[in-house]
Amino acid sequence: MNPTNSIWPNKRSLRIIFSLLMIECLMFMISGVGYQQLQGDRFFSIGVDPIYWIVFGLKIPQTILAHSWLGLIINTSMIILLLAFIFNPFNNKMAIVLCILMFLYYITLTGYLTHRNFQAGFCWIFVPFLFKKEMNRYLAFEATRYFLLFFYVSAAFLKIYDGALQHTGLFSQYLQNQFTPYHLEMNTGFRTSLNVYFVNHPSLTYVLYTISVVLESIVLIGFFTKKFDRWLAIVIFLFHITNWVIMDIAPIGQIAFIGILFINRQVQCAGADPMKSPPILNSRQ
Amino acid sequence: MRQLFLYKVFKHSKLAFIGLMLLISLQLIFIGKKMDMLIFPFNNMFALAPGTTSITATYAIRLNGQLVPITHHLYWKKDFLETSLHTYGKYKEQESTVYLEQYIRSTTAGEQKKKFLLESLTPDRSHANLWPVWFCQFAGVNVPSKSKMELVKYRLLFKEGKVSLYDSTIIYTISTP
Repeated sequence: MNPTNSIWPNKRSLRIIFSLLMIECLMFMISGVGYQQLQGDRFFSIGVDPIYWIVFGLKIPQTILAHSWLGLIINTSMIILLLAFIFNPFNNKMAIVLCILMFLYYITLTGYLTHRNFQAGFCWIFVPFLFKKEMNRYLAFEATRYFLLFFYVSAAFLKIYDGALQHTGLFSQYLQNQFTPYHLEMNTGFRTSLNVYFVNHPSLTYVLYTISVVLESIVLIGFFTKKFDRWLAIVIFLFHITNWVIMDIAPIGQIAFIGILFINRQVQCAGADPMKSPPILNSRQ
Repeated sequence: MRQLFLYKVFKHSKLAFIGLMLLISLQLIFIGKKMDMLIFPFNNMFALAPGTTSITATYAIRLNGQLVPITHHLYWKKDFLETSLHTYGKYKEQESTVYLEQYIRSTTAGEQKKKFLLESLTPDRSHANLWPVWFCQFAGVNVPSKSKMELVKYRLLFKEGKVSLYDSTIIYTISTP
């Protein structure tokens, strides 16, 4: 038993999760969408979202993409800080800086990509670690977990609420749009053949779509019990991997975030019920 | 009751509870005003039914008559090239306006405020006109001087298990000096 009755039993699991995040960040850079690779881009389109308005209104992304050295410094800082954070995941000062940097990167990337992609988990994963006191961190962890669950459940809810399940041809219609550049460039293979097959079999794709809504809905269980968190993470991964193959939508940027469902049980076990017996804080805290 | 997350937050810190309530209220206001919400970008993705047709459209850049390929790149770069080009195609089709410009113009805000928002939050037209040059270079294609670039909308037909080119339209053309 941890002598300080710490809610966070060891750093190993967290290090694995943040190493995953590091790999995701490197994948952004290696694929070619780091700040320095986006230098000189002047065309952006942001949504009706006040947070984007503030960041773009302050011309932060525009300034970063106009100065090559600045983009290089920020990208390098992100990687170095993340590396340091893997070794010390309870350093809240580093978490604050990383959260801000990742957040700015997400806003910049999606602003210039001109679409708010869903892979925002690489920012939200830092939320619990922004806090120094264990109880605050514990409650922030709980809030982040609920947000993650809500993220998927609300998507399922809206699909049902908007009547998407009533349209049997809806998913094949969506699939028709997903691989058009591949077809145009004649860059065809297994996935484009699968795409054409699904487009031509709307009943089968309707079944797949319904299964995906069921997978997202299953996450609702997490609001009532934490016993199945690991299984919920597997369900979410399954959902994303299928999406990647069928729809060419990869979860890169979201994987480490989903990983917090794997450590949730450890957090619970070690902390028991911190509201009944608040954790004894380290002298440093 | 003691197990409820919001109750735990309330018991722990009134300030944190107020902050959380404020965040939830703000998000509800944003929904009410039909504004996007930064923290829920996944929400209604693939929830709304598109029109039923066997024709689908995509945009591409032709440099001196040759298609600039994008699909061989790694995921994020390929997605960036595909999505931004799609938005640029729509931008050019809608007389060089992005969606946010249409939204701001439709609000009841004063002219001065609208002008400020448009200048800050939408791309500069003169720079945007040259964007295909940046696009080609970003896609890894060298742009020689005196090149001709065309933004083309291709329509593809899905029929009888095959995909074929239905038609194409040149939307925008520029030449490099």
